[in-house]
Amino acid sequence: MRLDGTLDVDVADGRVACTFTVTNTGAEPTDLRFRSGQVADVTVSAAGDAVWRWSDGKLFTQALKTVTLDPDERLTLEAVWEDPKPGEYTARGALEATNATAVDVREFTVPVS
Amino acid sequence: MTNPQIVSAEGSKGAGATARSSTTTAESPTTTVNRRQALRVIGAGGVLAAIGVANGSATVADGERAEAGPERGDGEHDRSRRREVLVGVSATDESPGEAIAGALPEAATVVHENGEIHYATVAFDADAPPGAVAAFLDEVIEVPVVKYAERNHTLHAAYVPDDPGFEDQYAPAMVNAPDAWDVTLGSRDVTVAILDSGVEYDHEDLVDAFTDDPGFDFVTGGPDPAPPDPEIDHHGTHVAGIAAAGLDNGVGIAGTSNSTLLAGRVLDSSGLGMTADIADGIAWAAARGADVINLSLGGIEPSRTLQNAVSFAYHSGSFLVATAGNEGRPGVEYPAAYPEVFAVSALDETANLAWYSSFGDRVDVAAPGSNVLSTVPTVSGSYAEQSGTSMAAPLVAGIAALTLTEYDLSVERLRTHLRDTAVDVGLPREQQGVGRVDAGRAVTTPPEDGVGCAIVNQGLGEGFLEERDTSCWRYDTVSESPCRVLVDLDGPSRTDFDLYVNTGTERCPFPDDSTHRSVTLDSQEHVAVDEPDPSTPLLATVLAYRGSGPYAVTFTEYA
Repeated sequence: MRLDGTLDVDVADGRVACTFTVTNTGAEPTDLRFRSGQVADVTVSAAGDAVWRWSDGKLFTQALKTVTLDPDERLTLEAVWEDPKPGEYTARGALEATNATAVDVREFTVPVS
Repeated sequence: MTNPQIVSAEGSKGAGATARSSTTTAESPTTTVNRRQALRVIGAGGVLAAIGVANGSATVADGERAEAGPERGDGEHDRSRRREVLVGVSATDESPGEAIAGALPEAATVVHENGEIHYATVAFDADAPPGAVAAFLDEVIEVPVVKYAERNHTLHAAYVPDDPGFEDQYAPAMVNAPDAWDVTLGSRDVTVAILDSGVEYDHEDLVDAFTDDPGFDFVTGGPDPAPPDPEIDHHGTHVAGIAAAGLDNGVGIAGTSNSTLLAGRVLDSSGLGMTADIADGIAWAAARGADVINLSLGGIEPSRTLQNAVSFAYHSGSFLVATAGNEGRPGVEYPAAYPEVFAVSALDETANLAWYSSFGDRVDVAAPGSNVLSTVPTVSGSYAEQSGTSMAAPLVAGIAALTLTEYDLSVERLRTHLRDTAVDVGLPREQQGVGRVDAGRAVTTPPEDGVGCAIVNQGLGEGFLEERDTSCWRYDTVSESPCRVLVDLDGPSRTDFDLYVNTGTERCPFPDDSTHRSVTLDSQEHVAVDEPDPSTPLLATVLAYRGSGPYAVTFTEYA
């Protein structure tokens, strides 16, 4: 299987909007297997310590599920971090599948307003 | 902190547990032979053939009932044999039926008697209140001429329901559900709330379980709890079917219990839920009087809002069941991790811990969760297999519902009973909890005669706290091996008192040093200590986090 993970980070209006996209870049359909309703996560760290995680405070179905991505089809997670403190950060988007990985990392800055 | 105060050991067997309020109404099926008619016929003397009595399945006023399967003989699994008691009497001038007529409750009728071997058969309506049969067994033997009273069991192999999918299901057999079904198929008087991604309530195998008011959608705030994307979202429908798809209705699969279903949609089509929606759903289900609340969902972070909702539902008398989680590592997720919730891990078809199942100290019991066949939305094929702790929890919810049909139990006693009747399948404790849940044992073992764990003592401490102050209480168990101690705090309204408990140490607990805690936003707190360390006392600290006033802390000991 061939997967591409891309993380976009947009800092504006006092919030950090992250979009993590996983695309099947191969020529065959790909089955992605998950442990629960959670398919991906975005974590923001400062100097190596996690300061925000999209999945915190969220709950998910607890059944195994399979999602099939056709060639060029994508799976997207929108994760918005509200009221971030100013500083330098690293965001990491990761696929939570049990049979595949896709990760992307982006550094960004939240300016002093 | 001064030395702890000693609670007064009262030694009384007061009910420390929260009583489950049951507001059941027993409706007589329209074709019942009423008591007076039956006695008139009996009075004509001698041995009678069975009087036609309303089929025990007359629970659905409006839904369609499927015909029974053609393979079974008509007499063998006739529903009217579902809840019958045989009463033996001394030979007197009266017939057996006349002799016990005065001891019959509303929901029971004499349907047969044999004057040569001196017994009468008493049949209970399908809508008889929970515990009616057990109560009758206790009471009728007090009648002087009665010599014995026993359930009318089928003597051959355990119950085989006529649901065509049953032969493809392994999970009910693994938990010995057929042994339970020999006694009861469940009752519509018991309500199981499914808080999930939405349930297709008009599915052919679920429709009979729902009333005209199927539930609510907390995700959109609308009145319809059906899944809006049934092609891709099967979860809630699958979970609901495991608990209460029509059992022995000749359609689809065998659910665990023919209870009433209530659906609260708290997860979206992708399987994601917000804390607030789930908390609102739990509070709503409790306020609607749900006897059992199933939560096939979880997250790794605790939440005060979620805990408050769980605590509210628990104190309202709802039995909460939730999933240990699918992370395949130690650490039971929330809400299952809260002490008020019954936590279920998953077994696979070989009765080993499923590869994906979370495990840990908070697991109560294990149940099959892999490749479980159940209902899915009709547009997606109506039936399918799914795997997860999501599938294990509703099986336990269904077993709880069967148990509540037979025995009138508080939430606390039900929890203890399901744990006591679980079967050790040889897995480490952190994987199986106290064992694999067992429907047959849960339904056929009277809780009074259960293996251990009944109230043996209660201790009470009362005091007054100013804001930010604490008080430490010490309780010494009277038993050498208590199975459980409940610690309840009843504090003043409009304050926030918290409760911390220690077992296994002589130190008074503190917020940063306690083995158990209950810290909701009000002053009603509840801690359950399973198998406390018998070599040390139990110590509880009450903290007046906000506000001041009088409080009472109660220790209830079970052994």
